[in-house]
Amino acid sequence: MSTQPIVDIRDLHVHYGSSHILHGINLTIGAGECICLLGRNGMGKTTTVRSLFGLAQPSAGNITIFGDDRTGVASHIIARQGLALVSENRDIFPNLTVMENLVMAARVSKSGSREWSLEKTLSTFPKLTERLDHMGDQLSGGEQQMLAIGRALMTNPELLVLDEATEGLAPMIRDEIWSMVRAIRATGMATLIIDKNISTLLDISDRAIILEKGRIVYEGSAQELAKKTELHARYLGV
Amino acid sequence: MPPPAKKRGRLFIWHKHMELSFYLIQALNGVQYGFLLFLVASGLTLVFGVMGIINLAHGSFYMIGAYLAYWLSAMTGNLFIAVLLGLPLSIAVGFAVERFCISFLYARDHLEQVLLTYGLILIFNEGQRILWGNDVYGVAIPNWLSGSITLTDTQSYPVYRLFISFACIAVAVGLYFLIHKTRLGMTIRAGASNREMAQALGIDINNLFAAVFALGAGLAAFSGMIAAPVEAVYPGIGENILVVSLVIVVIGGIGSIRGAFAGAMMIGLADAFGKTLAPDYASFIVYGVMAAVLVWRPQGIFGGSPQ
Repeated sequence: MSTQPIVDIRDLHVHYGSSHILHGINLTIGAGECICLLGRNGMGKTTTVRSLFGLAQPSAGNITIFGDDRTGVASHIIARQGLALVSENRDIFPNLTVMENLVMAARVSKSGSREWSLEKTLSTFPKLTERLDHMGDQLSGGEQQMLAIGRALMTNPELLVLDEATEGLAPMIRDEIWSMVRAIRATGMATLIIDKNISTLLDISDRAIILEKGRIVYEGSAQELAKKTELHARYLGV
Repeated sequence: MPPPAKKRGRLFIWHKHMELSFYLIQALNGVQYGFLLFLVASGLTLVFGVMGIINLAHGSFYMIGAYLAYWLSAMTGNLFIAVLLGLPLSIAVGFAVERFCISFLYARDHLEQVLLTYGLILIFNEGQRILWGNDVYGVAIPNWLSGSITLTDTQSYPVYRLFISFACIAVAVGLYFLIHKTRLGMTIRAGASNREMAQALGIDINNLFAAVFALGAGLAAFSGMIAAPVEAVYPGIGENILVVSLVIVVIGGIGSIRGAFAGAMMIGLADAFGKTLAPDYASFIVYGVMAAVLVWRPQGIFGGSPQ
């Protein structure tokens, strides 16, 4: 297995107009790693993800994917390097059926793998099987999230990015999503997860990063952070 | 005072309009014109719905098609060879226009799109004058399609007009299949609803837009080509069809292909019956239909909620 990181972000700065959102973020994601990105609302988590996917333009810094500089590159090129996004709004295509939402994204991985076929994706999310002919906007929040994750998996990514993995979902559905995330993680796929459910997130992740006002204020083992409850109170408001 | 039955008989004779075959012919004419308008309007609404571009130069592709049909069929002596040669040429022009002009407009507002595409109309019209002058040209109907079908003792219907309807149906079915049953169609619909997410899933939206624009140009040019034998080829042909197409897109709901079909049929039939039943008001009828639809549904028949 290559030791080259999937993503290496160096000294990333992002501005929205005159607002300085990210102040020199450094983030490395290795193959098979599970990293959680924590922080209160408005601290720069989604901006970090958006700039990784080329959806927000960095004002300074570098984003390297599999050793190639991809700073400021169009997002479809970044996606084709093996990165898949489940965005915080889920962004299901409302005018496509569930089946079409999955099929339109289908792609072989960079290495030519077709591991996440339609069959495998549907067996991971059996609820979607019953809804294949429904339009994207006829799904419940939980089904939309399953579809968003399934659609991302259909691109056979090396790194799956989940922005707000269980936001706004009922507790039972959350548990379902988390068990699916664990199953995906068990396949060896690298994951970067943002969520407010800190205890579950720290339990799943290898490494945790806390963002505070666009700066990394903690980076280390998720298990250790689980014990440092004073950091939870200071940076995460819990 | 003549008996009532005789009076009714006279009325019937005076108003030939009331004969069944008259209605049949007008309905066939209206449906044929509607199919043709649908092909042009579907390209216009597709480009707007998917790319957010108001393309006033859409009628210019219809004109390019009509002139290529004239020019190439005069050279080759065969309309079908002219279509086979002219269609790829028109699509290539559409592709070039997207790459060198339209692609700079995606991040800009509709006013700038209207300005640039209006400028394109002027350039295309000047090009047409330089290449073909201001004369009106006719295009010969291929021999095997030049006959008529007898409807009654006195009425017949040209085979070529039926051919236009069938050709349009074939293209419309193909378009439906492309948009609803193929992977490309899925990505087109995905890109139309959420450009950013489609890109984040690996779709090259620039190539997709170029393909959609070229497809729209191809639909307009094909319509101009097959319509050339029944409508003369003349300067300004593109503007006429553009205005009617814009009316259809507004009636149907901007961005809706189903709406373009409904709107095109309404306008096709209204135009055919209007020209014969109320010729004094014919030029107004198209806009009357639009006004009536907009009073009923301001967003168009199949349009989304009004903004």
